[in-house]
Amino acid sequence: MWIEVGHFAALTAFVLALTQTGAGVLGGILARPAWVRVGRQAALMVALLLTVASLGLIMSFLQHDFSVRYVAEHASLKLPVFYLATAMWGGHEGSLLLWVWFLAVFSAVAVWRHWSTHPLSMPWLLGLLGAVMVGFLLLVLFLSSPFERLFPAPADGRDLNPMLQDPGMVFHPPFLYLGYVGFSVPYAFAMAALLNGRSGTEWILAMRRWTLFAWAMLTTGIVLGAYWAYYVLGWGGYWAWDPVENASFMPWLTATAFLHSVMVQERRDMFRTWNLFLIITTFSLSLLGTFLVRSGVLSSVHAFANDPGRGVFILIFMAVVLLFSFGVLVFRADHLRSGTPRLDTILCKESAFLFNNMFFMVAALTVLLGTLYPLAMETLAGTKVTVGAPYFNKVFVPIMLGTLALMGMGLVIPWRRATAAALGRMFRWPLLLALLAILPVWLVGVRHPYGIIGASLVVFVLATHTQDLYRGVAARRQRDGRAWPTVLWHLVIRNQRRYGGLVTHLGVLLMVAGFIGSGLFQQERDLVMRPGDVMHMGPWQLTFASMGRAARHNWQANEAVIQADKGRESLTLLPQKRIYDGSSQPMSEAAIHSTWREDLYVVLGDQVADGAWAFRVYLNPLVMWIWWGACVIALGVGLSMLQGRRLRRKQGA
Amino acid sequence: MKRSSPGCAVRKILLFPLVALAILFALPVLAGERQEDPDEATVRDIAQGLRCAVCQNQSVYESNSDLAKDMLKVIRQKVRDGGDSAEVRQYFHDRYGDYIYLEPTRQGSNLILWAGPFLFLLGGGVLLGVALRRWHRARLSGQSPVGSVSPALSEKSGTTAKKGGRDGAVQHKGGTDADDRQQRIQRELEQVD
Repeated sequence: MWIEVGHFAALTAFVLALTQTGAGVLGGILARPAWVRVGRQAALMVALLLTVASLGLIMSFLQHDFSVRYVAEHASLKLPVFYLATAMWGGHEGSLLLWVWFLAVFSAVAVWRHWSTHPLSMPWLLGLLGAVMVGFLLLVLFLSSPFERLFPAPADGRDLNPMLQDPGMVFHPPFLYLGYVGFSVPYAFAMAALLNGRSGTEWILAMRRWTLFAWAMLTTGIVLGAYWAYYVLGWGGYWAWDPVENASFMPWLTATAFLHSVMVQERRDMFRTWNLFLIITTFSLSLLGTFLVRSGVLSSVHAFANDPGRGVFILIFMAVVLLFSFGVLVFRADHLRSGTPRLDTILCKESAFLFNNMFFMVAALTVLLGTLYPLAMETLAGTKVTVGAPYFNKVFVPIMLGTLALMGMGLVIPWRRATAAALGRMFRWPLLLALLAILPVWLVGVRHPYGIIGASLVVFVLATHTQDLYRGVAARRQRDGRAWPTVLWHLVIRNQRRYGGLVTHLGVLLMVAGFIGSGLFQQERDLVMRPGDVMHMGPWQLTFASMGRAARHNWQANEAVIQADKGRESLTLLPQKRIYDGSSQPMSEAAIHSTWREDLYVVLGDQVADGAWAFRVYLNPLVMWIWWGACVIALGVGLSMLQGRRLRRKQGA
Repeated sequence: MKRSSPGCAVRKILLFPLVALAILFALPVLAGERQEDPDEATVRDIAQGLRCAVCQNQSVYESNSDLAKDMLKVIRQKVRDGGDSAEVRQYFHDRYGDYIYLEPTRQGSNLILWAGPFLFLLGGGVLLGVALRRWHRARLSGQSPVGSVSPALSEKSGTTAKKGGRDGAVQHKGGTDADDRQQRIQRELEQVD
């Protein structure tokens, strides 16, 4: 019953999305405000209807309606309620519906919020977002429909892929999609600016918060994916440079570039075309990411379904979007020329931002090259090549180290002009500290050049940022003579965006420290143990006490009981090998003990002989720093986002 | 509250990162005893560089598939029999071709992969260098840029863009405030120093 409601709502939404596109664009071109208003009402209705459609699908899951093919394929009677509801995006068809639902809600919010402030952009905004929705709805309704029925209905479903029965995987796709879809609004505004032939500072202000929000969501989504990989896949790592991971990483890189270079446009009104290019590229890469994953062109850990009809539609849709967007950019960009940018000196924040952009673009291009190269080789030369993690680690790390070095400088270099003397004063201490830092790193036994340079750069960035904060506080204390916490508070509250950026950078530093620690110091052991055996791993002594069984909802497992002792600390680890109902592939559930310093990570392997089991034990230093770093980044973005309203009030907008 | 001289305080503040780093790298030193088979490290090293032929982008070492487990057994056997890693890798290469290596070889068209990123970096750097110099010269020759009225004004009041006006002070208010404050802080700092 619910599924019909949902299906009907989705069909109606499709008609209204067409209306929204037509009425919006025509209303704009023919200067008929009434038509544009029709487009607005349509946009609000589409959001409502797609909400109904998505809830209809979720309700079908909750009611175990196995007459719906999608439900039968991704759920079972035994599946816990939480996973029942979230199984809506556990497969290909539902994820696409989720995507377009988010897009509809975002469009509605954008139309509603910017209706009075951006009347000129509105027709194009309605038209473009409507067109993207039409494309996705075509896919959802006619090519990969989650509303399809199954007769006769089976008594029980095939259950959700065991790998997806984990909180990390439940929240990873929605956040990722909030990020992808969040870029659609700035993209539509950028296109509107091009099509109208005006682009100034004002759309930038509205867009920065959208972009920040989308960027924060995308970051969260990527980190959740890494977290899930670490906790569920049981290979001791969190990032495999899988094509699917790369697909989400590319828009992140270009969006990061945009967030930085847009400041230059705001402050100095330069690089308008470049910023438009960046935001259009970011949204295009979001689409590319969605499609690479969803068209089954990549066969990777995440690939679900593979259907040539779908793939062809997706490629055509992708080509239309790309050709249209970049075509408009190429043909209309000269209308926006704000004259040649002029730099007072080569040494200034503006050029630091440019170099930042260059590094991020090179990084994105590198990932793109490594991701598409095997596809290209297979298509063109018919040879199969693997471009795996070792390649990416080798070529990507130097680029990222360069970015890190820039990060240490960019924040503190002044706008417009910087004298060599001032720079010398600014970087004297940080540079000295960065050099000094090499000594303890060497003594600890790091010999890998990346490790040494990386650690040294982390110290450098930390020092410049700390110094910047300190100087800000010191200068104001000189003036007001109040206690430093008060001064610090005022400093941050007066300039949320700057200090939000500073906090975000600190989060990135924490993550980088985590990457260095876990990337270069990971220890691993493979060995066979019988109950009673003891092994040592770093400071830990592990005793294989016994082997037991465990069972829950829809799985049964062999569970090893491992006693871990470190000095006076003692704990029990329970790594499992689970067999889910209706799946023959056993799943390893690693037992992980996390501290701020290191993770002890135990994976149960196969039974080798009677009573002897294979174990794989990892010691992963500083992994926790990655997750905490992500939280600090979220804090920083939150702080930065507070400022938008005040800026606009100031400007009387 | 007594104020110490800023220079000294700067040094104190900057000690924090150093202390943090010392803690960060006080990582546990390798414990001496190992109970795993001494061959196992070699096996792991080889298995991490080969892909499981039927999985999606996983190394033989990480994969749980039966084929990967069999491959791992073969690797283990060959290492026990005294084969070095080059020989073992070659053995799989003979059967599967380049596809089996997770890291692409540095020959033929794969050079695109290895040279690409550094060419991007070089090209980007050169382009940017040229552009920066040009813009800097533009500043010296002092052309007046073609500005436009911000769309905030034009969209709201319906006026069309004016040529020649610098972009309005209207929307730069936030910026100039920050600028002024920045300069003030700079000035005060110079006095302090």
